[in-house]
Amino acid sequence: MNTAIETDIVLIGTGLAPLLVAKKISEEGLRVIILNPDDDFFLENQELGFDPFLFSSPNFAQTIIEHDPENILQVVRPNFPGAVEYWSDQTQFAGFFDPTAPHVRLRNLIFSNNSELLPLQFSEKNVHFQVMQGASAVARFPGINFEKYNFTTPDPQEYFLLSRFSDVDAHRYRYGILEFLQDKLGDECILLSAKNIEIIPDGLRFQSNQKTYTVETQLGSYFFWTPKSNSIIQNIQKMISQKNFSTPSIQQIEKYFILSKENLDHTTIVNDKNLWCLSSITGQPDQSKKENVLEILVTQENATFNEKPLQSLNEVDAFIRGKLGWSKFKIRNYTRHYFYNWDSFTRTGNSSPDICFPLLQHAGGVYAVLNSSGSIYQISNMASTVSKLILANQQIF
Amino acid sequence: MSLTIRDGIFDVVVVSASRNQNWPFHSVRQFSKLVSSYGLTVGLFGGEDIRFIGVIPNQTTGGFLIIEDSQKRIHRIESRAIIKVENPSEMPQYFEGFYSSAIIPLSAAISLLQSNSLNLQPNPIILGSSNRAFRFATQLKQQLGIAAIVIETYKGWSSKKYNSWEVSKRQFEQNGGRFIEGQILSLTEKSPQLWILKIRDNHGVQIIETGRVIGSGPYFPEKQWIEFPDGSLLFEWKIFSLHSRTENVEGWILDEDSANFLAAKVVKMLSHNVGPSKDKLDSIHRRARTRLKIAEAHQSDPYTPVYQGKWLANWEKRKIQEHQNYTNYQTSFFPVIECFERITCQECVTTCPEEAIIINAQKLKTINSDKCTSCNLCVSACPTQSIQLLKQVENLSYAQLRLSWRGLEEVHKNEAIHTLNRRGEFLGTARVSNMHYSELRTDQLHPYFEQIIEIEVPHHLAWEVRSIKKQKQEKAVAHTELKAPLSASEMVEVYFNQTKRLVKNGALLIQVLFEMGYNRPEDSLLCKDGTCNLCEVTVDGINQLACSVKIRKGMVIKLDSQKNESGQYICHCQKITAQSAVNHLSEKRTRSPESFTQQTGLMKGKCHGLNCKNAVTGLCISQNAMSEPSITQNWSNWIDWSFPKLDWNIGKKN
Repeated sequence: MNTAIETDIVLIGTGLAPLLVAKKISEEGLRVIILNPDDDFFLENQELGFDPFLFSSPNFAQTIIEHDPENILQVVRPNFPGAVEYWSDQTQFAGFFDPTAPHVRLRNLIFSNNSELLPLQFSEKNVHFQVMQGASAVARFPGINFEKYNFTTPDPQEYFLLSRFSDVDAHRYRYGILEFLQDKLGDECILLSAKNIEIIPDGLRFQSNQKTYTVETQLGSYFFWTPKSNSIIQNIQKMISQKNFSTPSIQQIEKYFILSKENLDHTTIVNDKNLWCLSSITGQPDQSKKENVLEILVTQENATFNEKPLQSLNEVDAFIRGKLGWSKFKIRNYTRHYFYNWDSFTRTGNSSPDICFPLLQHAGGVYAVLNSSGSIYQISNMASTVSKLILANQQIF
Repeated sequence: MSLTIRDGIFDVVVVSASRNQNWPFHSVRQFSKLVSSYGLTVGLFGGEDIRFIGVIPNQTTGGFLIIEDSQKRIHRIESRAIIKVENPSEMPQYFEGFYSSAIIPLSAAISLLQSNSLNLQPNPIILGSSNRAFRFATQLKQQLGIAAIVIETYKGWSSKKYNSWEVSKRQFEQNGGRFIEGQILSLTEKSPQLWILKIRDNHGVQIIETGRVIGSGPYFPEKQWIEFPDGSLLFEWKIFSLHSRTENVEGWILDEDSANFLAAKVVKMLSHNVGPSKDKLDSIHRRARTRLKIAEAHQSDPYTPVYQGKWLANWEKRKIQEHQNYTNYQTSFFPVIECFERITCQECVTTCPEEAIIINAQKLKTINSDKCTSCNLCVSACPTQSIQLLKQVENLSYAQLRLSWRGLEEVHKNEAIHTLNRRGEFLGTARVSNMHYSELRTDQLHPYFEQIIEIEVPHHLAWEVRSIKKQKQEKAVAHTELKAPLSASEMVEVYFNQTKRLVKNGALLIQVLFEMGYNRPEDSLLCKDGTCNLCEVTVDGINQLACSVKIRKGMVIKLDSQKNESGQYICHCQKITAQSAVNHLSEKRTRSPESFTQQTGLMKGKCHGLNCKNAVTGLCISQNAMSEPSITQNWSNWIDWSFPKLDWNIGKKN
């Protein structure tokens, strides 16, 4: 059975990025169809509360400033159809407060520092920091077992403490947007399990739930480029006679969920070349926690899709035994996520790529959208830019 | 101490998800033989020393298998195709009180019965009407004198019928078993070791007092193998027959066919050039596919004869006689094969030394009476007692029947017995005129006799009588009375929650917990091998697994007080209620199982879905079956690849 649909724009993606863009442009009266090659949204899990690759960022101090809670709130609040709460140690004294709304949490960031230039960078950017050493620094790591801590020969490592860092409740944020769009656009405009997507002169043809759809578009189709949609982009690339862009490098996160005796409240520790963690804040209203889980992330730059799993198990083991002083531990869950590093992405003759660029010119154009995964802050910024471009109906080049 | 990971690379890996003595199973060996004959490297990982930790899928195809050996060394095996071998799951679907210490899986019930640690009385209930469930219930009655009730809860249960299902059911009913179709409402504890099960069937609400509820499954139609995601070369393969061929012939045959099918599929996907043997591979693939289709067709349309009262309808009788080419009175014993299902079992065909049993164009077994010597071999070979020998001589007032008898007690010559029809209904009494041989056999439970008996019945009953029952069977000694009390030297004193107890020396602690009635829901021997880590108890101040600790004198055992077994929870690890899961489904915000479990947190707790997977799957299928068939499809084609499969202990010696 073939169903024909006429629309202004088609957004193809698996995560939050197409939803945010759809929300913005549908508010301006454009007709939108969202296609998801997956059976559901967010199965690819491409949205993060903060940027775990911030240490590899060329401008580390700037990334820290971006993670200031007020800065993040300014970006994420306008895109969300409801309240985004701010959790800080002052929250309990605030007036109305919705504990079920997505939140931005004020957190401390503590990290080991091996660079002499970093204090200078922080000073230039007016980032307040504190230098710590020994037991007082180690105590900031959640789950530490002080019974095993050697006070006679304390940890000689120097740590920096930043008190204005934050993360976003990515889970509630993205599901809030999805629910809003499901109500606003209806199920007929959000099509899941889209398979065999083909570009035709007037738009797109695809299959979903054993039906064939032909979509005629006025303003084009936008493919949000994530590892899962890579094969679709590659197929379109094959249709273009000349290859004019490179493949971005891949970043991998290995995520371990370790069971702990204490209530660690989903505190995240990131183990990297630099050891660092987000420590808890006081006055958190989250009472729904069920499991005592310590989440450990290990990041890897320039990875491939065929990396061996559990590469960092030794590091995690050494960290848990050596730093936290646990004699044994249980792994409840382990996952791997892949992200593209768009800084490494170049197109021929254009070293700084646009946020979206045309793959084909007909039927309003077929575009690839970069920065479709990562932290909520980055995705929100990208969505604002792309929706502005679409609304202005301008040529990207 | 640092961890060392050992790496390995194979083309195809087959891994057993649980520890098993019989590894590699027959079907796994068959698979391996076929795949390796095409030049692919195959790794088989299983047995008692290998612990399966999980599979980590690749972005494209294949993935990494993580296993731990007996010395706690970690092995990371890379493979282009991974096949995880699972046993069919046995824990029940959701009803109020489904997470209860009354409920144990069938495999655990069998092992506990073998060690005399399980009290099933009164009215043991078996959930799910698989062949295995019926066979277990029949064994309970025949060998131990315990009458069980089998309850089928799935509305479309006819699609779960496997080869010989009708025969298994008939044997069960002939032995006085009760089969009920109904919906379970609740299971509540009345007193220690006694529970009340409420069910609703066609007659209304019934209340049954039971000593134990045994989960058997499958609770909904399950595929024998699934690939998820499509094209990923990551398979889950459910093996039905883990034991010998005689114990479960239809499962054995089905497994063999699926092994051939799966092997041909994997070889075709991995080897682009199989050379001249391609035709042979195609032929194996086609043959296996055809046989699996036959088995599938049988599941959807099994043969059930029509009865008028307790007598077979005339046209059914004619149909049976025509099928046997039976025309008139015979002068010698004539084999009657009442196997009208196009099943793949060929035990009788292969057993017959004269090759008198042939498979006709309709794929049914028929007899060539010219060749038959009435040797009885086919009667004893048929695993489902579907073959009898019949002799009707003209002018003789009675007919003679030779039947197979399998029971705890031996049948003697000249003994008066009850005759029964195909549904186990009483038809009259008869005398055993002859007994051909008697053999003491053993199976998973206990030894039993196997005999061929000859009886004399009136002519009009020759096509009605199909089995017998020993008279005065009610005098059979109950299983509980059979147990001889242990002598004082076999008992030792232990401290159990600060009180002294006399228990069996050297017995497994988990068996003792069952005997004393102190077992918790997590002590249901879910994994059979200690991999699930759920049955933790404190022994002499150290946390240990009850399924791996043996009783010794003076042991101090501390068990947490019974947990609050709230019937409202569908996930007891994370305290998630069934209502909240239903609400989530009714909002229709999710379509895929992954997203549903991610959002609700179901199957993400301590047991990783071991207790609740069936309950969650059943709930989702029943909620969506009518409105969204595609969602039901998603659930039945889904494999949970979340890693690790169970909590993974690092740095702890079990």
